[in-house]
Amino acid sequence: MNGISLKNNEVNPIHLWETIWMLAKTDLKMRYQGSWLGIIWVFLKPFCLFLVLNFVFSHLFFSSVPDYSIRLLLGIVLWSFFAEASMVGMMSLLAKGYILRKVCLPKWIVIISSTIHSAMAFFFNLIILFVFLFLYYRIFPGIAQLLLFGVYILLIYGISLLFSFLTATIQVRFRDLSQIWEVLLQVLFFASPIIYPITAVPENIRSILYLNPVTFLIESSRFALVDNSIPAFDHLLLFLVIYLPLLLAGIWFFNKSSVNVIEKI
Amino acid sequence: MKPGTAIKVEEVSKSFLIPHRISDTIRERLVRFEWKKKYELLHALKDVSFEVRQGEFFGIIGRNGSGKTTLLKILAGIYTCDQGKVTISGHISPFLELGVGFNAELSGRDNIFLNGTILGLSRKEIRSKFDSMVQFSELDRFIDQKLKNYSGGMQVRLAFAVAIHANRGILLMDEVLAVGDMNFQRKCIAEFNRYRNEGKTVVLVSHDIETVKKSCDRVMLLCNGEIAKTGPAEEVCADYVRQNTDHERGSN
Repeated sequence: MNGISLKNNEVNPIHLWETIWMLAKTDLKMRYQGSWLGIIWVFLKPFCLFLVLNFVFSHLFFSSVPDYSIRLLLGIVLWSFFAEASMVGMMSLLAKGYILRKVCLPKWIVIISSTIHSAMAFFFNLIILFVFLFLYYRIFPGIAQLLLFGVYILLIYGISLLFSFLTATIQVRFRDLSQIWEVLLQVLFFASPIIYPITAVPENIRSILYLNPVTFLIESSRFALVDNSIPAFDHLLLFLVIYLPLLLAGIWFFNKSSVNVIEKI
Repeated sequence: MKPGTAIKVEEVSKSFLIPHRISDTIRERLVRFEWKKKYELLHALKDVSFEVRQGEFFGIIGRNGSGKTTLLKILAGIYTCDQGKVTISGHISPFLELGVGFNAELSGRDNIFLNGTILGLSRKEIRSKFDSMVQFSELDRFIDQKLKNYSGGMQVRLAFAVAIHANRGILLMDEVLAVGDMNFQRKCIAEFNRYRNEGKTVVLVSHDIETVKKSCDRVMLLCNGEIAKTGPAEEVCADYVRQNTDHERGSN
């Protein structure tokens, strides 16, 4: 029989969570201390992008789209979350290798702890988004819409995790995977309905765009928050039917491929 | 497993594939057309079996690259072995390195919490042991300063202070026994000797033969991944020293 059997060495879920939180907190502190703008950087990055894109596109191309700016902002905020979380999740095994090489921790916790930072940045951005939505646009989504939006947020996080589980161990073997992903993210940025509404895309290629899971989540979020309506549930159900098993498969793949990964970090 | 056995290792083998040329990017693979990489098989451990009893101080010695650290990492659960079986009864506290996770940009206080959490302490435990840790490290004046402003000695003192408060059950120590200046080293040794009275099980990897001889009950000598000898500390250590001097004479 291979492997190691331990008696009385059961994993304590509370301690696991404390470890995840501690690692995430350290990431957070590292990121924002020592820069005098500190936490403001969290807002600045997506909002600079927003201001530029808004300036260019709201006047040039999409002046006919109602509430274009808030739709753009929502798209950017959601996209940044996915882009960042997938990137740091992919890099997490390498980034936290100096710990994993010295103590026995379940490897998946570094993926969660690394992405928590992106999630927190995302929540800060959401606050601004809601301020805009309420005060400037005077749109007040109902409880059901807000709950639905919460579900979409969870799903975007789930997709980021799925991606991280699939790529983190490969990144250890092929260190330039992250560079490739960076380029792909740029391509995907324009292939997702962020600066344009999905309706601006010809019908026949629309279904191709929907292969990108973020497309569905951005469009649905806009429908719920900005249009203040509740979309039909069959799409959401289909989404869950496709991606929930994929997430499980991703976790399975990660467990399988991370058995001997520490030796290669 | 017999009662009273803390660690039982049965015919454990571990090998690493060492590529002749390290290419860990897709670009290199594509550029070199090396889809079949040439590997060398390095047998780090071959058929290693031994037992450590509860409350025993067990030493592992051997030259660099003889498999000591690999063995400890397998015991700690960081590596998985290719073959064989490891049974451990009790909680393992691995100290393969002092100050795992230490971050130079954080304060001593934050680092205590970070390192303590990684070593398996809960938040509550760290809080209750915090004062005692600081006191042991003799760093109370500097505890809110950033770690990067600490001297090397101060960093290991802090790390050691957390480590001794995080131990429970079976200790795996890799060259982390005595650190800091003379005074502090004495404190470390005193702490270490206390474990004996408490009946703790310790697996100690060290190149410091004198310490091993003094503190270990039994010692195992590893040579190229195989057990060369296991037995009473005096005997095995003497063998090891003789082996080294023979080797030196042979090479001269």
